[in-house]
Amino acid sequence: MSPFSCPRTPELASALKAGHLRSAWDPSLREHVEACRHCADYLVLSNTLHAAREASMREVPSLSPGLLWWRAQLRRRNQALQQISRPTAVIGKLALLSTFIVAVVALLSQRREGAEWLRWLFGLTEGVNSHHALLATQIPIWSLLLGILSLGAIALLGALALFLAADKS
Amino acid sequence: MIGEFAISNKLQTADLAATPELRMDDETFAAFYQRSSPALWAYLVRVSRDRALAEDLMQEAYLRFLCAARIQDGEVSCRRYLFQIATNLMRDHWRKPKQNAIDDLPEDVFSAAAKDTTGQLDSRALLGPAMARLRPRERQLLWLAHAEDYSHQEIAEITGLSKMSIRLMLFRARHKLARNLRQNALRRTR
Repeated sequence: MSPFSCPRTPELASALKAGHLRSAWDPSLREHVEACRHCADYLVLSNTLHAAREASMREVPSLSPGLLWWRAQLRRRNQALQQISRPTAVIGKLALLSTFIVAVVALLSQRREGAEWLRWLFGLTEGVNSHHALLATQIPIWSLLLGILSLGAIALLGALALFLAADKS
Repeated sequence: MIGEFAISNKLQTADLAATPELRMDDETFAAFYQRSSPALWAYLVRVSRDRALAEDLMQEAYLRFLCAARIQDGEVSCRRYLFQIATNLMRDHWRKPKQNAIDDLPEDVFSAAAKDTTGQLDSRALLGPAMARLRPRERQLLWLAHAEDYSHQEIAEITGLSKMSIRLMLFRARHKLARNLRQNALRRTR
C-alpha cells in the first residue's frame, strides 16, 4: 500500500463519482471503508465537499454575461490600442533622451565661451558699450550663433517631448 | 505624433467588430456562463472564504477567459482553463502584501440549508471552521479533487504543480481536514 493512498481508493472514488448509493456498493468495499482510515476520510471529505458545493452553487451572484462580454470587448480593444501606440511611445522617450544628451554636450563644449558670454552680458547690463564689449571679449560670431541655435533646438525638442507625454496621458 | 493621433482616431471611430475577436460570441458565452458560473463561484467562495473577493475574481476570470488568445476545444477544456485562470488569480491575490489579516468569515456564510435534515448537515456546518485552518493551497487542492472530481493530471494542469507534489499535498490536506472535522464534531457534542 502506497503511503499516499489505499489501493481501493480509486474504486471508492469511481463509486462516488458514479453516484452509486452505499447500499449498491460491493459488500467488500463497504466493509473495507469501515475498516480503512484512509478510505473513511476520503468518503467523509467527498460527501462533505460535494454537499458544500451544491449549497454554494445555489448562492451564485447574478452577473450579466452580456455585460461581461462587452467589457471583454473593450479590454481587447484597449489592448490593441496599446500595442499600436507602443512604438510612438518609444520614439517619444528616445526624443527626450536625445534632447537631454544634446543639452549636456552643448553645455560641456561651450562652457568656456559660456563664461565669456556671461561676462559680456553683465557688461551690457552695466551700461558698457555693447560694440566695445563684443570686440573686447573676442567671442567668435559662429560660436554665438551655434549657442543660440542649440538652445532653440533644445527648446523645440523639449516642447515636443512634453507634448507627446501630455498627449499620451 | 501625427501618426499616433491618426491611428487612435481611426480605432475610436471604427466599428467594435473590427477589433480583435473574442474567443466566443456573446450568445455562446452566455450559455457557457450559465453552465459554468455556479461551479466556479462555489470554488472561489469556498477557497477564498471571502464573498466580495470571490465576486471580483469571478468577473476577472471570465474577462481573462474571453480575452485569452488560446483557443480551447470543448466545454470540458474551457471549464478547466477557466478554473486555471481563477486559481492563478487567487494565488496572485494571496501573494500581494496585505495591510490587514483576513478575518474568518461569519458562520452564516457557510450555513447549511435549513430544510436539509440528512447527516451531511452537521459536517457541512463544521466545514467552514475546518477549512479555515487549512492553507489556501490545501483548500484549492481538496476542492478540485473532491468537490469538482478532477484527476491529479487535471489538477496539475490547473494549478501548475507536478502530479507527485499534488499526491503528497492532497494526502496531507485530506488527513488534516478530516482531523479538523472530527475535532470540531467532538467539540460540538460536548
